[in-house]
Amino acid sequence: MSWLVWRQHRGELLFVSGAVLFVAAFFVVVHTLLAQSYADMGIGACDGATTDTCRNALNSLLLNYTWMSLVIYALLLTPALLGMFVAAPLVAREFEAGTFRFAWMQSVTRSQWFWAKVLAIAAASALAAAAVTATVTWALEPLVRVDALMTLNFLIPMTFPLFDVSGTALVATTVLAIAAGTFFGAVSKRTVLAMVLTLLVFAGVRIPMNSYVRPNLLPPLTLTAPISVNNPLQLVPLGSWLRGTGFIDQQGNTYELLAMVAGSCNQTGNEPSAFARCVDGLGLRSYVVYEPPDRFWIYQGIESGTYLALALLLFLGAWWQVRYRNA
Amino acid sequence: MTEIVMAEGLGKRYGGQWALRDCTLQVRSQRAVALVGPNGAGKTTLLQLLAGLLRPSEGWVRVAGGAPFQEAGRVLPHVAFVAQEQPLYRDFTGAELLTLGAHMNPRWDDRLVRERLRSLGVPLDRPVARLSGGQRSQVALALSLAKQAELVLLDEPLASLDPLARQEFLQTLMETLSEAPMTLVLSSHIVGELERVCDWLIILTAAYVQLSVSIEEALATHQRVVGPASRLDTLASFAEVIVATETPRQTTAVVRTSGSIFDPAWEVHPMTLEEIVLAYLTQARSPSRRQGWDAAV
Repeated sequence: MSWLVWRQHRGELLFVSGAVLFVAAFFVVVHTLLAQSYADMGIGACDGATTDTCRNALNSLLLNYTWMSLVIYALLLTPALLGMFVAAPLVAREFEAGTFRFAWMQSVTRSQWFWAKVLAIAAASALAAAAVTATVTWALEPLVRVDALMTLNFLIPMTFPLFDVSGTALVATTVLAIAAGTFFGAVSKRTVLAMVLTLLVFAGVRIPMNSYVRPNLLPPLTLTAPISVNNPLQLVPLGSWLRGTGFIDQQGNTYELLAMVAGSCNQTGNEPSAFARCVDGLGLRSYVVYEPPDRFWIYQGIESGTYLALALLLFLGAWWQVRYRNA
Repeated sequence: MTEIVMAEGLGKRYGGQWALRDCTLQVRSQRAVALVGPNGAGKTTLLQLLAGLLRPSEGWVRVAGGAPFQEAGRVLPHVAFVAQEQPLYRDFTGAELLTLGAHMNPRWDDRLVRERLRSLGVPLDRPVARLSGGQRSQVALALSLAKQAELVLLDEPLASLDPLARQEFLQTLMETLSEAPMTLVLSSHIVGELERVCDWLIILTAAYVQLSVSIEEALATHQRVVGPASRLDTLASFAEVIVATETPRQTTAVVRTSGSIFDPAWEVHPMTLEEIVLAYLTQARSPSRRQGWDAAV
């Protein structure tokens, strides 16, 4: 079987390997440029980011790399592409061309045929995804640290989109997409239909997971601080997922903006300390709702586990279709 | 003598439509069977049931001692099947298909198949898509023979071939049959040429097996008889009437009988295999089927 798998899919393997190498080369360049910026801007000495010079340097570095999230969005699509172009034709094309009647009449059972193909394709794709994850994580580490320091929440491992190419996420979603492509190919026996269904299901699982499930999985933590603390965001652990900030009065009412509750203090004039004293007098504290960075692996585990379980069901469904349905 | 194929009450239904029904069949080892019938009679269904590509809807079938669908792992090494459209990986070269066969079959005769294709002038270094129809059939046949299976099933192998390629194909088949101990089942709606290769005849019409006898017996027991008008009922009393046409002056019929017809009123003519098959096909197409005949006369 291994010879057949290799012969039928060597083109795809070559293409995907090339793509992985291209992505790796791209991120090596990014990493080099980042390291250079670190040196040029003197950011290495800026851990803590207290001085204005440091803040400005960090800010301009981040501003130079806002496009990075677009690159990551593109990477998020790669599992779907693998599912559509590698997995969907895996079984469907054999049905369309009638070649399953040739393949299944060798002295190899349909089950052996199916699992040999599927496991090879899934393993190779997972390996590619793991390579991309490792490269991205390594290359963007300086940028991620700066982002965390600045508490900007634009590129930290806890949040979309970096979360989805970190840890086990990209590998798990890749396996899911491969499973979906295989399943719909085996059920519909039509490559194009299977490709469309794969894309729909991939998006249908991923988008709700990002925008609904993950934010509601565990209750976020809340930290309050005296209003005199200049930047309460710096009190939460570095790299936290910031869910909201605002102000809370003694009755427990929350306000997103100070102006919503402290309008009366505006008469204190332009002197900041007097304003702060006035606000303190109202008994207001500032609060931060956040999820600590040590939840990263919990979320990765839950999501990847869900994807892999779903993938297993789809693989078994596809296998059932191949083994027990009429040809 | 062992039975390589045994089927009892075998049937296959697609939706509400029976493609094959109530098929009881034994094929002895080392026979060469011609499976004949009109298009849509169930020939492909029967072959695919034997190959394990289809799951029986009713009844059972054993090939080389195992159920081909349920026990594929046991049966597959003993069965080779070439589907009607002769599906091969079109981007593979002949040589690559041979490598595939060698990797995926325990008893692969690589030397023999290479020699045969070379002697036929089939280029092995060219993608299958760029071979002629005849060459592709030869490759498909060679791949199925190299598997060294006891049972080789060929679905309409002659349909896509021109007369010359057909001769070469049948030649290859006969050579193999004389060299290797194997059983062949070959479906076709062209009968004449099969007589050279086959020794057993199965006629399948409208999902039912109408006849399963040796070709020798088929020739010995079928006659065309010509006799007086309106005497079909007496004829039916001592012979099985397959088809009959009556004119005001005479009755012409094809009958199957184990004995001889001594009644001097009937003029008896021997039949060729092609004529016998044609009679069964005519019977299947006429509105009054075999079962309906007795009632009609």
